[in-house]
Amino acid sequence: MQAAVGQTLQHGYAHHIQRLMVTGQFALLAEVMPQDVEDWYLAVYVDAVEWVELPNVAGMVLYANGGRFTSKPYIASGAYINRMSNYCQGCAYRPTEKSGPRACPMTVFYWNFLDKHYDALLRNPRTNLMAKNVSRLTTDERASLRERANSMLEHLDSL
Amino acid sequence: MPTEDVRHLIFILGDQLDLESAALNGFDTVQDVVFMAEVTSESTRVWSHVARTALFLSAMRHFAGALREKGLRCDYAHLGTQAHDTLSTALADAVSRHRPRKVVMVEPVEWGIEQDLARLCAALDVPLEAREDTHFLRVSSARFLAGASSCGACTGSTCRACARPTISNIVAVFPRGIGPARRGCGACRPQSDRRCNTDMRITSSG
Repeated sequence: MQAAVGQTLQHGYAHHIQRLMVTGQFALLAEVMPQDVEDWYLAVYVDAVEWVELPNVAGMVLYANGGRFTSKPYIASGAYINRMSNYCQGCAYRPTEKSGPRACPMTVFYWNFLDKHYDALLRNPRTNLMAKNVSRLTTDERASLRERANSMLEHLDSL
Repeated sequence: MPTEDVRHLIFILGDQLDLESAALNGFDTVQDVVFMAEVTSESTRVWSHVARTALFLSAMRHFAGALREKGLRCDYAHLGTQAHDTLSTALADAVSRHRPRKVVMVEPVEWGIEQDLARLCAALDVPLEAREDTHFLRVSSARFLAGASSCGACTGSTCRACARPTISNIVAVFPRGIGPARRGCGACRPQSDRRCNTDMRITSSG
């Protein structure tokens, strides 16, 4: 987040995957209001034009139209970020951990999202496998995951 | 600049900078005038990066220069010297100065702007010809509101369930092979022999 947001603020630019899978998916998983995300993307990108940005952010990034543009929400855990970038090197959190003191917020939010929208994701053939992973967790694990996610969501600014 | 005998006032917006613009089709160097305007609302209506605003203004000024080099008359309202808050007030001012027989433009992509300009021209009693965009691949508002042609699964021009033109049906009016995911709206199930639901695959162009 620091690298993607930092680059964005410095250059007014980030590439597609930084917008979709780093800042964008964080906003989706952290349940940021779509209107606020729309405003932020318009304000920080040199190439943002409302008639392009609005449907892309609402429809593609945030799945805020319930899937009329995309057939699934674009979500991933910290492990994906780690596989696709060098962002996790030197980060205080462990991308593969969803519990414990070094649990990656992106990963916690990802599992929280799967848990919260389990039924809908299970019905969608493109997210069915993702959702099934949640069913392997015990009830206690799911409860502590929710608790952890809520605690992190309440302290987003100090993560 | 002469204020009489203007046939067409060609209004070109900052995101319509195309020398091949449909608005310039049939341009008459004697009777027609291009009008462009820098207005504050286009940078303040929604959030805008300062560099983005600067790039838009720069592109507009270069474009106006290119038009003049081609010998087209271009009336350009600069921020500062001819300050206008909105595209509507800028156009109203240009119409009062040039008194064109018709305002010609490419249909704006912003629906609100299109509505504002249409209302303005009606109030000024000057015909507005909004030409279909040939630069971007898009569906005109007229076709959108009339209901786009069906994807094959939905028998009508609109979604059976909600009776409104749907995004998927709008996408379906693009020529075959160009459209992205050509899917039903979810409410409409495809007919067995004509699959419009492409299993969520994206159809590539060509």
